Amino acid sequence: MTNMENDIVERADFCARRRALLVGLNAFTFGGVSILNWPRFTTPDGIVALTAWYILATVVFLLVVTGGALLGDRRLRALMNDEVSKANRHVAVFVGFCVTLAVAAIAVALPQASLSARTAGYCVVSTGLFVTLLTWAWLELRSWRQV
Amino acid sequence: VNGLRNRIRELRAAQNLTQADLAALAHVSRKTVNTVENGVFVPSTIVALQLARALKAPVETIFELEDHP
Repeated sequence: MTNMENDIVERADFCARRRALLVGLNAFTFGGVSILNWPRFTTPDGIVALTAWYILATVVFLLVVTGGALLGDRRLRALMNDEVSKANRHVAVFVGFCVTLAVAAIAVALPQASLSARTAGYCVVSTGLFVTLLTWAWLELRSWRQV
Repeated sequence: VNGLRNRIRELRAAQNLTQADLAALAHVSRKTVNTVENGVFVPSTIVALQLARALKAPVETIFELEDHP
C-alpha cells in the first residue's frame, strides 16, 4: 500500500468526522436561529427575518443534499460520501420527512385561527431540517464507535 | 445484523493490518471498514469484493450468512 493512499484515507476520516461535528453544530445553530427569529418573524414587517431564515434553510438543505463536500478533490469526496454516509443520510432524510409530516399534521389539527399558513410552514420546515441534521450527525458519529 | 457474519477482524489481525491500512488497500473509507467489521453496515457487492481482494481471501470466506450450516 502506498503512503499516498494511507494519507487520503486518514484525510477523508478527519474531514468526515469534522463534517459530522459541523452538521451537529449546524443543527443547533439552525434550531437556535429559528427559535430566536420567532418574535420578529410573526410581526407584520418580519419579511427581512423571514428572508434571512429562508436563505439559511436553503443552505442547510444544500448541505443535506450534497453531503457538504462540494469542495476538495474527487477521491476525497468519494471516501467521505461512502456507502455508510449515504445510508446514514438516507435514514436522516427519512426521519426528517416523518417529523415534517407529523408537525404538518399537528399544524392542520390545530384551530385555524391560531396558526397562519406562513407560521405553519415555518414550524414544519424548521423542525424537519433540524431533526434531519441532528439525526445525520448522530448516525455519522456513531459510525466510528467500536463495538 | 441482517444475518451476515464476517471474519474481517480475524483476517485483518492475522495480517497485522489496522483498519486504516485495510481501508487504504481496499480503497474504501476507514468508517466503512469499521461499520462492516462491527456488523453495523451490510456492504454492497462491490465493497465486499474490494475487502476480499485487499485481504487476499475469497469473499465467501469473509462473509457468511448466519443461518449457513
